[in-house]
Amino acid sequence: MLTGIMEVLSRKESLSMTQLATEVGYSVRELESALEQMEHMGYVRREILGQACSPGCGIDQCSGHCEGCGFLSTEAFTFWVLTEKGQIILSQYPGR
Amino acid sequence: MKIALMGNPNVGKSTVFNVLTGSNQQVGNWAGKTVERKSGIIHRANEEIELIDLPGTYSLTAYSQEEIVTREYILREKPDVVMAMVDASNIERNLYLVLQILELAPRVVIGLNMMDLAKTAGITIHSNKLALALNVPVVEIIAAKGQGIEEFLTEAIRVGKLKKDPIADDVPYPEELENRIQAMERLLSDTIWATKYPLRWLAIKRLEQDPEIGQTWKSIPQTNQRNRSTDPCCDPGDPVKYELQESVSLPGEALLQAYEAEGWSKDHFEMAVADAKYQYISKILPEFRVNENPVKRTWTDKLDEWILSPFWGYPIMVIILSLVFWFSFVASAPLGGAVSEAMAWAADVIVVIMQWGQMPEVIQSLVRDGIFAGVGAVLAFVPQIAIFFAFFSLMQDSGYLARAAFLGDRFMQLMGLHGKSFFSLVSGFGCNVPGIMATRTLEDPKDRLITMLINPLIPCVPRLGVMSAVVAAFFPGSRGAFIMVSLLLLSMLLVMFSALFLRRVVRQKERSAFVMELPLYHVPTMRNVLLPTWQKTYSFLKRAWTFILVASIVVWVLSSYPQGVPMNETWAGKMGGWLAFIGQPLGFDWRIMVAIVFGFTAKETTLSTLGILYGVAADASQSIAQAMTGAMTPLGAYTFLVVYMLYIPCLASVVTTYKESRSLGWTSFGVAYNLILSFIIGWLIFHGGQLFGFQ
Repeated sequence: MLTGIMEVLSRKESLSMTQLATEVGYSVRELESALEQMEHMGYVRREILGQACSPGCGIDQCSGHCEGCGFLSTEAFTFWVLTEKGQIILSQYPGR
Repeated sequence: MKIALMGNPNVGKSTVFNVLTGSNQQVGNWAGKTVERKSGIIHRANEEIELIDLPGTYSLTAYSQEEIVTREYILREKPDVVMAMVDASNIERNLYLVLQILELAPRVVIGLNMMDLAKTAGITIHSNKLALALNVPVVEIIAAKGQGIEEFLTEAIRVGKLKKDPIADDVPYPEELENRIQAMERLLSDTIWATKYPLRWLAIKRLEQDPEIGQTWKSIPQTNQRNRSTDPCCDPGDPVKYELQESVSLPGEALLQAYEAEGWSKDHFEMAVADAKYQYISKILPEFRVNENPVKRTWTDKLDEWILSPFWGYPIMVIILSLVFWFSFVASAPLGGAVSEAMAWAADVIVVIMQWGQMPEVIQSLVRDGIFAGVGAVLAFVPQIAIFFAFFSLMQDSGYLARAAFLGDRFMQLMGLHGKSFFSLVSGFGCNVPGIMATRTLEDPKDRLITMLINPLIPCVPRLGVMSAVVAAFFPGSRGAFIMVSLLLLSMLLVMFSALFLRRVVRQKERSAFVMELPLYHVPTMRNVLLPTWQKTYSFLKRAWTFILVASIVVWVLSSYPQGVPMNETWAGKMGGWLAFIGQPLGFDWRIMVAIVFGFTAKETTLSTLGILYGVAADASQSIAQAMTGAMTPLGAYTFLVVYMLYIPCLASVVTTYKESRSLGWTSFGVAYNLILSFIIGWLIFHGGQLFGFQ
C-alpha cells in the first residue's frame, strides 16, 4: 500500500486525493492515514502553498516589502510530494 | 500493578486518565525530555495500581521524543498491562499503533472510544469481531460521557493478572521480509538482548538499525518530587531519572551488510514493515467495520469527473474564464465610462474653482492635464478591476480556483517543470513580484530560475486592467471577451514555449508529481466574496493615489516643457522620437512608445501616460480609449496589447528577480528575453495580420 502510493507519487502525473485513492484501491481515509504515517517516517512531505507573499512579505506587512501583496488571493493549496528520502528508497526498492 | 495508557493524540486518553485517577495525579517531565509525564494511583479491590498516561503518538518508531519516551517506558518499566485507546471513528489510523504495541507488550486491552461519533458518521465497529481479528480483548467506551471507563479498567486488571501471556496474532509479513526477520531472530535469540526485548520486535528493529536499541540506561529514583494535587505551585520534578550507561552495537552486522548488498537497506526494512501493517489493517477492516453509509458519490465527486477530466477540464476552464473576462471587462465597460465622465466633470469643476481663485495657468494645467488625465485614466478601470476581483473571489470560495490550478499542473508537465511552479504562475496573475518570490518553494535552483524568468509573461492585475481598457475601446461587445481570452491563451502558449526554450539553456532535474487536497465545492458567501474584493480594490486605489500620482506629474512635466512648443517637441516628444524607429515596424506612434517606456516603472503608468499624451482631460467628452481609437487601427491595438502584455516586467519585478536569483546576468537575460520576444511576436502579428487583410 505505502510503496504503491509512493510509486504513483514518483510518476510525472499529479493527482487529486480521490484520484489517488481510486488508483491505489483504498478509501480516502485509509489514504490520508497512510500519507500521514509516511510523512512521519520522512518519505513524503505535506506542503501548504498559499498565494500569499513568501516569508518576509506576509499579507500584514505588504506595504513595506512586497509590491503586489494586496492583489493576491488568500487561497492555500495543500499537497503531498515525495521527499528525497522517499525517492531514494523507491529507486532502490527491491523489484524496481 | 502497573498499567500504561497509550493511544494516538486526541483519542481521549486524558479524559480516561482523569476519570480514573481523579485528583491523585503526579505531573512532571520525562527525564531529559520536554514531554509531560503523568501518573496516578488507583485503588481497586485492595490493590494499588499505578496508571501512567503515556504521550499520544501515532507510532512507536524513533522519530519524536514522544515516541521514544513511550517505547522506552514499555521496554524498561514493563507494565503489567497496556490500555490501548482507539478512536472508533478513525480506526484505520489508530490500529497502526495498536499493531506496534502488540509487538512490544503481550498484555493489551483495547478501549474503543468515540463509538458515538462513529455511529453518527454511519460507521459500526463490531468490538467482538475486532477482538477476534486481533486476539485482544476490546471494551467499548464513550470517554466524554464517562461510559465504559470502569469496565475498561476492570478488563485491564483481569488481563494483568493472567498467569500466562495471551498470544496476539502476528502481522503477516511478505515471505521475503519474513525470512529475513526470522534469520535475524535466530541470530539474536541466544544473546542477552533477547532477554531484554521481545525477540521478534528486536529482530525488526535491528533490521531497521534503530539507533535507540543497544543503549543501556540506569534509572535513579528521585525522592524530592511533589504531588501536584496537593502542591500545585510548581513542577513536581522527575519521579525517575535515567542516565545513559553504555551504547553498544548489537550482533548481526554481517547479516545486515549481506541484506544491504541484496538491496535491503534499513529504510527498505522500515518501509516494508510499515507497508505490511497497513495492508494487514486494510485486510482485516471489513471483518469488524461496517459502513452503513457507504461513501456515496457527492456533488463534488460528480462535478470533478468533468471539471478535472483531461478532456473536458480545459474547455470548461476556457468557458469559465471567458465568462469572467466578459463580465469583468466587457459588460462592465459602461461603468468605466461613467467613472471617466465623472473624473472629467470633477476636473472641469476644479479648474473652474482654480480659475476663480486666479491660480497660475501652469498649476491648472498640472491638475487638469497631469493629475486628472493620468490618475483619472487609471481610475476609469477600477470598476472593471473590482468586478474581476469579485469573480476571482467567487472562483476561490466556490472551490474552482484550486481545480483550475490543479489543471495548470498538466501545462507544467508539458514544459517539464515541477508542478509547484504553477503556484508561482498563478500568483503572477495577482502580481509578478510575489509570483517570483513564490519560486522559493522550489528545491531545484534551475527549476526556480526558469519559473522566475517565465513569470513576467503572466499578465498581472494592473496589466489586465490596462489591457481591458484598450480592449473595451477597440473591440466592443462580446468580441472583447474573446480578445482577452486569446491574449491569455497566447500568454500561456509563450510561457510553455519559453519554459521549453529555457530548459535547453538551463538543464534541470526530472519533475515529480504530487497529490493535491482539493476543497469541496460550496456556494460562495457574500462576505467571502465582497471582503477580498474590497481589500484588493483598495490596494489598487492606494497605488493610484501614490505611485501613479507621482508618475503622472513626472510625465506631465516631460510632456509640457519646454513650454509653448508642440507636444512632439517637448522632452517626452523628443524621447518618443528617438524610440520611433523601434515602434514604426509595429505601427506604434511616439506616444505609445513613451507610454511603454513609462510602463516599466509600474504597469498602470502606461495608461496614465497615454491619458496625458493623448490629452484626454483637454477634451472631457472622450475617454482615454476613445482618444486612442483615432490614433490606431484595431490590428495596431491588438499588436499593442500583445507587446504590452509581454514586454519587460515592471521595475519591482526586475529588482525581485535580481534579489531572488542573485544574478545580474540572468536578470538582464530575463529583461532582454521579454523585450525581444514581445517585439518579435508583435511584429509577426502586425505584419501577419496585414497579410491576411486585417486592419
